[in-house]
Amino acid sequence: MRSWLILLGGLLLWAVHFFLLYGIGEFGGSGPAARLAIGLISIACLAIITILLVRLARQPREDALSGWGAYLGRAGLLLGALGVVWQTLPVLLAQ
Amino acid sequence: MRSETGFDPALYDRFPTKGGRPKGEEEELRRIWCKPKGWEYLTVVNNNYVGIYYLGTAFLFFLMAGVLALLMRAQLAAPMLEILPQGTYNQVFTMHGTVMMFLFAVPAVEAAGVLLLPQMLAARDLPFPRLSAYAFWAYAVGGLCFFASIFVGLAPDGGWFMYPPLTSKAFSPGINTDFWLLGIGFIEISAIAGAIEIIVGVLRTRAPGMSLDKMPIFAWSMLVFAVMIVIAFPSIILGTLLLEIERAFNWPFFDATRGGDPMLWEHLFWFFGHPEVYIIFLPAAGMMSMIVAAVAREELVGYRLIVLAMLATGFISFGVWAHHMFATGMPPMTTGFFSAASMAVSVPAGLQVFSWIATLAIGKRSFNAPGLFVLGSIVIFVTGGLTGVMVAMVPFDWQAHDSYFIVAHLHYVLIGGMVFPLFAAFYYWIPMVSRRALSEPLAKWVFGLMFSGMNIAFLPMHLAGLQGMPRRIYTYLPGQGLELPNLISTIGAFMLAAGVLLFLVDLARNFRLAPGGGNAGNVYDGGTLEWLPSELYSTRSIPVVRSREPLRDDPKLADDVAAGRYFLPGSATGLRETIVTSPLLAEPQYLQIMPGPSAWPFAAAVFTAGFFLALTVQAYMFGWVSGVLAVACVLRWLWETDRPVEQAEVDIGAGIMVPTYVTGPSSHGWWAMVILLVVMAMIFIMALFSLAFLWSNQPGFWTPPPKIGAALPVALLYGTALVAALAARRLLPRGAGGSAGLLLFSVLAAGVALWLDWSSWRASGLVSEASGQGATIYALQALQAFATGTGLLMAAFCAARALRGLVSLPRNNSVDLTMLFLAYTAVQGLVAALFGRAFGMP
Amino acid sequence: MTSAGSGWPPAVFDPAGPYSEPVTTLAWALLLGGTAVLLAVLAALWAALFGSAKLKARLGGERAIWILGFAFPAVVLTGLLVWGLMLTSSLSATRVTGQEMRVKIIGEMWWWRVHYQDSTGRETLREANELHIPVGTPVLLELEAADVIHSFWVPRLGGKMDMIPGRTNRLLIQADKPGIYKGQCAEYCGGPHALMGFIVVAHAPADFARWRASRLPASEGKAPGLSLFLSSGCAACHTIRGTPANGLAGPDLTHVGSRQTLGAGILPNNPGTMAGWVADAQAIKPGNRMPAYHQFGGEELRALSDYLVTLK
Repeated sequence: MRSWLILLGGLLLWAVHFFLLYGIGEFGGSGPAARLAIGLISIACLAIITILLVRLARQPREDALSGWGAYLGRAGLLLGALGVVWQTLPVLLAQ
Repeated sequence: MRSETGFDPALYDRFPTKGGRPKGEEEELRRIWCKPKGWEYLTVVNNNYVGIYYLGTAFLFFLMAGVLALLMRAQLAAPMLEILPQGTYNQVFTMHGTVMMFLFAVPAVEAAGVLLLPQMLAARDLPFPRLSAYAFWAYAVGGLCFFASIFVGLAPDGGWFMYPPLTSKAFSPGINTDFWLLGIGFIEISAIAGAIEIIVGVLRTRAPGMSLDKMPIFAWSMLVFAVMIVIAFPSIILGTLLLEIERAFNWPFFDATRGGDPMLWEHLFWFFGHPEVYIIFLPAAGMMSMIVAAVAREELVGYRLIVLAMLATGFISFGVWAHHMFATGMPPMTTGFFSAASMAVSVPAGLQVFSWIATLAIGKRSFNAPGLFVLGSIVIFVTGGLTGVMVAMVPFDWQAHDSYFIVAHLHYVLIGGMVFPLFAAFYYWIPMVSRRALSEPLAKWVFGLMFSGMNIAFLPMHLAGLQGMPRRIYTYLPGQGLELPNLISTIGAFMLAAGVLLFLVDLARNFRLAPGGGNAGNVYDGGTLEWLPSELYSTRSIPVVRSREPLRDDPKLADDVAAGRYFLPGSATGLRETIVTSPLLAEPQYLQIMPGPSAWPFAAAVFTAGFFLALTVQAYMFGWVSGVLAVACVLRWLWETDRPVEQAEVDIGAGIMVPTYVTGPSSHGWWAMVILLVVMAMIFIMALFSLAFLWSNQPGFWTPPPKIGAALPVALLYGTALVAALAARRLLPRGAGGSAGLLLFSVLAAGVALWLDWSSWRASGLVSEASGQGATIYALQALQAFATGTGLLMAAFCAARALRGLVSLPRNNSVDLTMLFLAYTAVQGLVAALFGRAFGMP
Repeated sequence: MTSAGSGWPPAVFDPAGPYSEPVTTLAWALLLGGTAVLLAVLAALWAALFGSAKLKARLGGERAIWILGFAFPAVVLTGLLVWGLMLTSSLSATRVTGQEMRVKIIGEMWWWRVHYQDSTGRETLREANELHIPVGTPVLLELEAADVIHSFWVPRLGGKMDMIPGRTNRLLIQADKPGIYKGQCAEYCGGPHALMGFIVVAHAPADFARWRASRLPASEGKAPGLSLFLSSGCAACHTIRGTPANGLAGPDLTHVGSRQTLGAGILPNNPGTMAGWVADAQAIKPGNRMPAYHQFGGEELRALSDYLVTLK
């Protein structure tokens, strides 16, 4: 399970972030409160991504697969971070 | 080295083994995996046959839907032509889209998985061969009957997206729409069966040592593909179910005049519909990655980036569904979310394209048939991807949406992203299954015609769209400047078709099936395991995998494998079998005994198809009889399974002993059941979403639900059902009878709970026909009733086996799986009871 | 007045108002940028196959994949996304000032009801299949559907917006030049969806005022066409204000003679086409809700169409 979480962490975070945002937009409207909530969720997601990036970089490599998985994990976190930032732009720019 | 299961990786060093193998070992393998004769071709379950049948049928649908496309292009060659009358045209374009998506694209890649995966992973077969056979026959029979509807003018005509209210009873009173809803809903079930097979196959039947980072990229793509099917298809299954219920029983899920909402369908459809595009694209991209590496004769550059790209596509594609709905009046912030995700999903596609280019850069340049189609695919797919970025921009999409610009875009993506890779795959892998390879000189013509025809057909459509030509029109008025682009498109379409025709000629001349060996072999010098010498039993022995391209890295591998110097050189038990390995590092865990040929999956598939078709044409009596027979056939087929063999442990080579019967979370059956439960849960979650969506969008039609406190007895009963199910597994060592009794008791508790829940809603005055709320609440209960009924069948099956003494002690897979299903049923019922009451609480 | 257009330049590249103009700019940018990227990818592909060893080495590694496949799109797409989001907001009908002219348009299988409203939303005039607007004024359209989903699209004036049963969607359009702007239903709505056209006629302000003033009920008069109209069942579906004809199922014909087109944007409007439409609308637009009137002789058709085209 841990190996899968390392592999998919960044993408899972993106997914959680996206569906929270969609849920707020669909059921909570796009007023200031909703936008604030989304902003906080985005900051939290980016913070988690940063923490995970640091921890993954420090994690020891046990074998070929875990080193490979860690690389993929970090790349996925990077992609997830880009996604989270893009996902947040509409909150700032779309009225 | 770390170990995942406690297996000592040093044991791999025993291979290849020294010394000869006993005489007769290979003959025994041949006898066990023997060729079918005569009628037995209908009852085969081996992937070498089912895979070919599957792929052949999918290709047949490609050709037939292609003919429909030519008819449409003929009609649109000039304004106001009357080649196809309006009604026929509307059926033809609906069938073209539907058949291409549901009967060609998804089954074709699934078929490629069935055919290639066991070979690539060096498994003897996929883990559930009979399920593959069932999935194939259900698809083939159902699909052909569905297609036949066009010959009698009963084909659906609401577009492949089937938007209500156009497809509601009021505006589509005929059974055309029912053909779509029942036919497609049914074929989806077959796709899900295939997906379960592929997930378990890829994660659990890889050759020993093939850890995730050494897995062929095609297997990665099929894994992501199958997981995406499991998540996405439930949405369309629920959608078709709800729309069919609305049509048959007048429950207003999508009727805005009674508190339903047509937008709900759009969400349900596209939550499936957009991932569907990537579901089609990913396996094809996986093939591309395999073929690019083989053509360049180099290891794939950026393997890990491609894996990341596939995983990322799998995730992000679930955040783009509403980009088909930018013009529905969604607020700008919400469209913004989907616009951003649509941009994000193009990043992984870019990673893959540049990985292919990088591999071509370091490799040898060759313009053989697969190489040409690979290059053509890159060019076409990139073009489609760029127009995809264009339409991801909301303001541009407001213009382009539902115009011929989109027709151009989607054909560039799908032809570049799926059809060309598939043709590359045909050329590349046909030598694996055919005695002769296809013709290289002819391939240049096939490619030339298809590539130029494709561009001539679809490039002008961008222009037509920007000129204002909407999609799905059976004709257009003269004088709008549309004559020339449409004429050019028609010419291009026939060129494309000529290329495909030439390919058929080549197939007829050179394709000679050789499933039992004697194939043309590794013509293009691939490095992965499917190019090992193989017969119906797959490879003689199952190699230890130490790298990503074992054939290139160990030139002796093929000989050693064929000489039986690796795992499982013969049959350990005298039955069909394969090694089940661990999901991450592929360490051998146990020997799976596989079922052989059987008529039951075939019969079950025919009766399942009969059930759905009979419902469509409203032959209810025949339908119910077929349905009961289908269930009986499935039970009969299962009756033969789950039987431990005499030897509890066997030597799978070099003295390595593994068990032959395993239960619990490491067994392949457990995995399949968990995936099935994910499918059920997704259907259920989409139903909950439907309720929330209607509550949020149609509040005026909402009536107060029964008090949440009154649900206490319901909750207690579901709790009892859950505990009883769990206890049944715990108490199995004490006797099969008591355990089966507990399972039945669990079903009873769940049934009573459902009845109580249903009664309280009836008492609250909620009526299913009266409002969207009523329809959805009772639909949730119908889903629960279905789960409970299925649970009853399973519990009764266990009880019958207990009576016959077929339940192994202290652990038994049938009991385990029934327990899982009943536990899920209890939880689902509880959530349904609480969730329904939570919305609209005073 | 300019004509309805020959298809060249393509409508999306020939904007006529502030709700389509910025999209045209965007479309050009996307088209040119997209072409540039396509050429760059083709160049990379060419270099991978035929380039120098040095070039090949540069392309053939993960570094190149990261730069070309991740960093480059990340930067470009961020820019595009920001542009797209801001443009979406500025074009959306969520920003309404109250100065707009208001019209409700209801999609029907396979034509359009056009209900002009005053600034409070009260209905002032019923028309069909043709929208008259003054140039230079934003028009707020309230889009609804009577039966199935349709989509309103006049590409030279703005993007499209779906008309969905149970909802009212809003769309802003504006024309800055007088002229006739063609539109068409963009969401498949069954049957003759292909022939569900629409036109917007933009007038200079003075002309618009004149047009508006001319929208008076017909006088009952003694035209032989009217009595035929009333006695043949036409009035069951059509309204001609000022006469007993008050059917609601079909288009309001009070001013049908002044319309540019017949059959929802598909035929020019003159006595000949009018007679043809009445005699056999099913042959012209198969599946539409207007039955064929084969029973009319030539005399009757002439009387009827002569009367109808005078309804200006």
